[in-house]
Formats: sequence, structure tokens, C-alpha cells
Amino acid sequence: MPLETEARAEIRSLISDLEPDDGKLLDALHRVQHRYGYLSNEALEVIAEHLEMFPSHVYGAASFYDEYRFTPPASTTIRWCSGPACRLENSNGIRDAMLAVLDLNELGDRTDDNQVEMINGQCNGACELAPLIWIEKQVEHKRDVVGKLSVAKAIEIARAISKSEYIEEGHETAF
Amino acid sequence: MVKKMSTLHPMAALRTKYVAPPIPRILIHRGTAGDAVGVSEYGDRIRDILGEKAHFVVDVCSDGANWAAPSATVAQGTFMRRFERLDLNGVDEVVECFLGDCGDAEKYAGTGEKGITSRMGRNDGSLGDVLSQGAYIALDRVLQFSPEEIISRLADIGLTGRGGAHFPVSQKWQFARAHADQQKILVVNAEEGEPGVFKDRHMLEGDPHRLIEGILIAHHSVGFEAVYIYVNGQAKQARLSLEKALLDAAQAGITGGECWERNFQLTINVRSGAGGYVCGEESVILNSIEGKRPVPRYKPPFATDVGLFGKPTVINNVETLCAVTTLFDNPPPQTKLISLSGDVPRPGLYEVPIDGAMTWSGMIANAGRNPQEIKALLVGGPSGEFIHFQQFDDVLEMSRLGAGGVVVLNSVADIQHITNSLASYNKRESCGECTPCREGSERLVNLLANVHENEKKIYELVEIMTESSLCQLGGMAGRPVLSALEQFKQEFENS
Repeated sequence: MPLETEARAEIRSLISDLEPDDGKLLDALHRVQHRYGYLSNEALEVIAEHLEMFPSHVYGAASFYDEYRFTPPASTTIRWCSGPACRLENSNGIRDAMLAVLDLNELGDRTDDNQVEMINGQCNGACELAPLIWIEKQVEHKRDVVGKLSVAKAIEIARAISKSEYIEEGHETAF
Repeated sequence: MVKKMSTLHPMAALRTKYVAPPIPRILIHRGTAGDAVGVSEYGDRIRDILGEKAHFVVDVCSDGANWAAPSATVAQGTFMRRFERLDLNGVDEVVECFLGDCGDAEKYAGTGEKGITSRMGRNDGSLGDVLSQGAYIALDRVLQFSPEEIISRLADIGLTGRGGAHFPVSQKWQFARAHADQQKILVVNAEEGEPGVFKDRHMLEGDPHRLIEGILIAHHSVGFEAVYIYVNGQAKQARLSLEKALLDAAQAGITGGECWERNFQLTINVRSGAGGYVCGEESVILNSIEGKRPVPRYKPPFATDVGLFGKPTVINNVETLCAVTTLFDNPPPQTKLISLSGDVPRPGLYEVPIDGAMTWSGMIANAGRNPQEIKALLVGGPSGEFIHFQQFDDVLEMSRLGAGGVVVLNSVADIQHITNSLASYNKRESCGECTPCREGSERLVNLLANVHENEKKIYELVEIMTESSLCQLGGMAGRPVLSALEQFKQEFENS
């Protein structure tokens, strides 16, 4: 058994009330990711130990989902709405333009300096704002919704974000 | 603990305790759609103007009219007037209307004055408010009947599942009820991973007590030990509203049953998913909650025999359980929630009649678009089908609506491109557990690159995927493709 370090103890304290065999794995993963922004190997081990599972089972399940990440998040996450209403408003063009400005190949990639990543987002029914993106600070749990984008506007935003000069212009909400 | 409440009838006792006398109000429509456009700034401004009357302004969720955001509704008794796409001038109009000058009274243009959205966007989330609008009356009535009578009533009114498969609710409940194992489980599917569908999260945001009431009716009819509500991981607002409602209902003695002086012995758990279209498949949810890899299970055994943690399990969609609360309405509304988006001026959540009173054209016209300018509808997303404009005068039927996602496509929409995107989506979301879907969904994308040459192969492949995939992700992946090929063949001619 690995030594109980301060880091491990902190992770354990986040999930100490969760019982094994009660379908609590997702809760544990959510809590840890909410706290640290990602799931480290150490966290996966502690969760496995606490829920009396094999670490490989924990990783096997967690890695199946879109939402869990296993490396620290970039400072800024651009979540691109993949909904059909946005698609009809040229969201593909917006995605491609932003990826190009940020020098990324595809959704899920991040910039070399770890500052920006762009990921797939799910339609939440705010279709009156199509096409839209969410600009998120994963660690601060702050999200800025920017809607009614054009390709030109998207390029402007991507440039500002890549230079860390982006100023929230949508409506910021906690998440 | 809840004190025994004298000899008043349980509903009367609840109302006496929680319901405040009605007052005229200004409803600020927040929720996901409202917050995205910063509606609370307008709410604050209205409160500022009203000064000491600011307590007449309350925050509510969207009434379904997401297109109208930012919006506010003046509600005085049965009079309601919604002010849409607010700006600062609009704020003054709202205040003037509230203070007495509403101009010509217009008919309120909300959706679902009856039906399951009747309280959405009209309650502030408090127990008192929903009780004053009819919450838990159906449950109170249900408790006066035996479980058999309730199940038979559901069979009589022909209530079917709203998640897309339209399985009769009465049958599913009866299978679980008849099972010898007494530790039965109810799983509420609120995953809603389909692109363009947002009805369940709006339901949870706007009227979570309706779901709780539906759950308790199901509990009375089947007898569950535990309930697991599996909420989409990105629908954070929905989960917060649901948790608040569960807490309120527990404190009031509703979920425990103390109000009715009986013990429901039911634990209600909320779980958040973490993304993935396949996670809306019912057996995938079971694996996901159990902490296993989220992949489908082989059937049989069906969940009503061997479900969550091996127990007999009923899996119902949020909308289904909400619809259950209308079982004693006279007549029960034959409606379906539609998440409408695409090329219409008024996208949003609609509750549409499916009793023959509404056609596709009517639905498009309701959303503000001339149906003659529309080429097709995509209904049911990546597992759905295209509705050709020549069919627009057909009446809406439950069996064709899937989970209720409708995208309106105008005359310049590229059907071939959309078809390819849907096929790519299914390829990306395939979990890889079974070969027909894992290999087939990829092969389908490749074959679509040259439809002219590959048409016969596409039909053969889709037949294999439909017949032999483990779940409906693969089973229905070919549906939009064939639907497009059959109805819009000319758009593929050049490929």
C-alpha cells in the first residue's frame, strides 16, 4: 500500500462519505475532478482503494466518458456547441476557424503552452443564441456564454484568448 | 421531523402550511436560456424601479419559449402577459403593465397551458408555489386506489414511454410489480445525450416536483426500494433544481409519506453522468451507475428481471414519469414535448398535441416560419429520420417523434452533408462493445463518400447493423441515412 501523503489524504477526504458497492464511482470521480480539474493517477488509485475496486477498473470506466480528463485542464477551455441549431448557423466554420487560429488539429487538442483547449459541448437548448460557444475556466468553475457568433467574431475571440487578452463579453455564470 | 397535521385532509394540510395567498407578480424567466443572455440584469433593474414593491418580482425558469429570452411575464390571476426579447425600454413597459397599464390585453402566447408544462416558467421553485398550481393532487388521488387499479388506469389511457421506444408504461410497471424479488429499483433516465434535445433538463429546471410526484406514483404502483435519477453531467442547473425540490419534498414529509400518514420507505438518489450519447441507452445507465464501463448489456434478461445491482428495475424517462401525473386529468392530455430548433424564429420547448390535432405544418407555423419555405425536418437526431415537405400535412404521431428532437431545415440545407454528419456522429459515439456497430458505423461513413457506387452496400450494411447491434445506437444508426436516400435521392446524385 502506498504511503499516505498529504495529497492522498486530501483526495480521500473528498470521498470519505461514499460507500463501496453503492454505485458511487461517478460521484467520486466528479468530486475529485471538480476540485482539481482532472483525475490524476494518484486520485484514481485513492478512489479505487476507497471504493474497493481495482485501479484498472476505475480507469477503464472513467476513460469511457467524454467529461473526465486525466491531465490538468488548460487555463481556458473553449467548449464548442455541437447542437443541430448551431450547425445550421455555420458552427462548423466557427470551429474550424478557431482551431486554425489556435493552431490545433481537432477538438480535444490543446495549445503547446497549455493555455487553451477546445472541446465538444452539448446542446443545452439555448438555441436562440446559435451558434454559440462557452468559454470556461475549469478550476474557477466560471463559464462565459458567447452566442450569435460569426466566423470573424470567433477569430477575434480566439486571438484574444491565445494572447490571454480575452475579456468576458457574454454572460458569466458559475458551473 | 414533520409534525402530525391535525385531522385536515393531507393536501389541505400541506397547502395550509406552505401556500401563500396569491399576489400579482412579475416573473423573470431565468434558467439555462435566460441566464445565457443575462436576464437577471433586467430583473435587477425592474426591482430597482419598483423599490419597496420589489418583492413582487420573482425568478422563475424558462416557460419553454427560449427564443424570447431575455423575457419576463406579468402574472395577475389568470391574466398573463409575456414581454419578449427585453431591452431597457422593454423593462419600463413591464413595470407599467404591472402597475396597471397593460394596454390591450393579449392572449398569453406560452406553450402548454395544460399538460405537463403547465407550471413551467410560472413557479419560483418553492413548494408553496407548485402546490398552489396543482402539484401532488394526482399523487393524493392515486393513494386512494390500489396499485392494480393505477396500472390498469395507465393501460386504459394508453400512456407510453416518452424516451423514444414508446413502450406501454403499464406493462413495464406490471412486469416489475409481478417479480418475486421485493427489492425493486426505479431508474429515472435524465441523461438526454441526444444532440438538440433539451426537454428533460428544462423539465427538471422548471418543475422538478412533477417528476417527484411521478416517481411517487410509480412507487405506489410497483413498490420500489430505491430510486436512482441519472442526470446529464452537463445539466448542472437541472441537478441543482432537482436536489432543492427533493430536499423541500422530504422536509414537507412528501417523499417520506408522512403527509399521508404512511411510510413510503423509499430512498431517492441523484447521480450525474459524464457525457456520451450511448449513456442514454437504458442498460448503459445501469452499468454506469454500478461504476462499470458504460456499455450496453445483452438482453434478455430484461431490466425488469435483472437490472440495477441485479434487482428488478424499471427504467423510465423524466418526461414519462411527468406524464404519469396527468392520469386523472379529464381527459389526460395527449401531448409530447418537442425540442424545436433549426431555421425557425421561435426555437424552444413545445408541448404539442399528438391526438390528431396538430400537423408538422402547424408545428412549423407555431414556431413562426412559413412551412412552404421549409424543405424537411430532421426528427430524432442521429437515430431519427427526415420528414419530407410533402408529408407536412400528416398529423403528429408519437411513434414518429422519437425523443422529441426536431430540427427545421430550410431550402438551402444540405441534406447530404447533414446525413454524413449524423453518420460520423454515430461512429464517434459508438462504444465499441459490439462488432456490428463498432465496425459498421465506421464503414457506413466510408460508404457514404460515394453513394452512387455504394448504394446497394449501404442498404446491406444498415440491415446488418439494425438486426444485430447490441443496442439502438447501432440499431438505428442507419435510419437517417436510409430516410435521406429514399426521400432526397437527387441530393446524392453528384457524389
